[in-house]
Amino acid sequence: MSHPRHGLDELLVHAVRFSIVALLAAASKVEFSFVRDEVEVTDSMLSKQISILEQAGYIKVHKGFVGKRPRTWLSLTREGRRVFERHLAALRDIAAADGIQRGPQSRVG
Amino acid sequence: MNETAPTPDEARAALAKANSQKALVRKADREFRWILVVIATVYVVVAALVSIAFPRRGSPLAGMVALLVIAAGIAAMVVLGRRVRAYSTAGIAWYVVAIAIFLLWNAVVTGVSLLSGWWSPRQPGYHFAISEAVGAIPLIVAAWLFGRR
Repeated sequence: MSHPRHGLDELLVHAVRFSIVALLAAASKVEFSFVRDEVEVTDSMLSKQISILEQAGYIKVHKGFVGKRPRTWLSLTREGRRVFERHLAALRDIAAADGIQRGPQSRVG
Repeated sequence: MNETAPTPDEARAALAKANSQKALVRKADREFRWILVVIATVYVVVAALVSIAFPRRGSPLAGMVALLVIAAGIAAMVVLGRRVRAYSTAGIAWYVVAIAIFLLWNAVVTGVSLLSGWWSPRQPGYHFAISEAVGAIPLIVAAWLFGRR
């Protein structure tokens, strides 16, 4: 049986990228500033991570204007959603495997 | 293939993080409720103005005020729309369904009001306002439900 870590995605092991994708997975579209505020990163850090995720085909960037103000919206691609779901399943397996390894005795007390 | 695995505790923390991100988007969806509240308010206020003006067979002042209320409502909706920074498919679906139910319910209220004679030239103007207030109920209920999501 293969270890559940093999189901993890290399890009999503990074905590900031994981948080970005987790936020986008729950939404249809999210504005750049919302992601920045909620993930608590700087504009430049977020831009860098978005570029990595966009190049991997996980997220899509939509640029537009509201009045004269530029607004950037982000969404997860179908591929990004699929990868994220697989990554979550691997995390669940890792978390569950711990319970099996410890056995019932370790949970007592 | 990944060679570095998170510990089970780290995996659980990541799963908890994913759940908390879902909650953030649900919270962001709640912004839609204020748009529904504005539509309901404009609807009821304009109906009240029309019902006040109706017995006198129209009033330029009431008409002007009604136009101003509609313009203010549209401006408020634009501002509220710009405040939406994240939304889910479920949030959009709730919003669209709420508007659809409102339109359907309104058609029913209008039909019943006309067919029953509740709306007629001989009836007092407030009948119109009451019907329109009843017509706005789905918007208020939807806004309340949005707040509970």
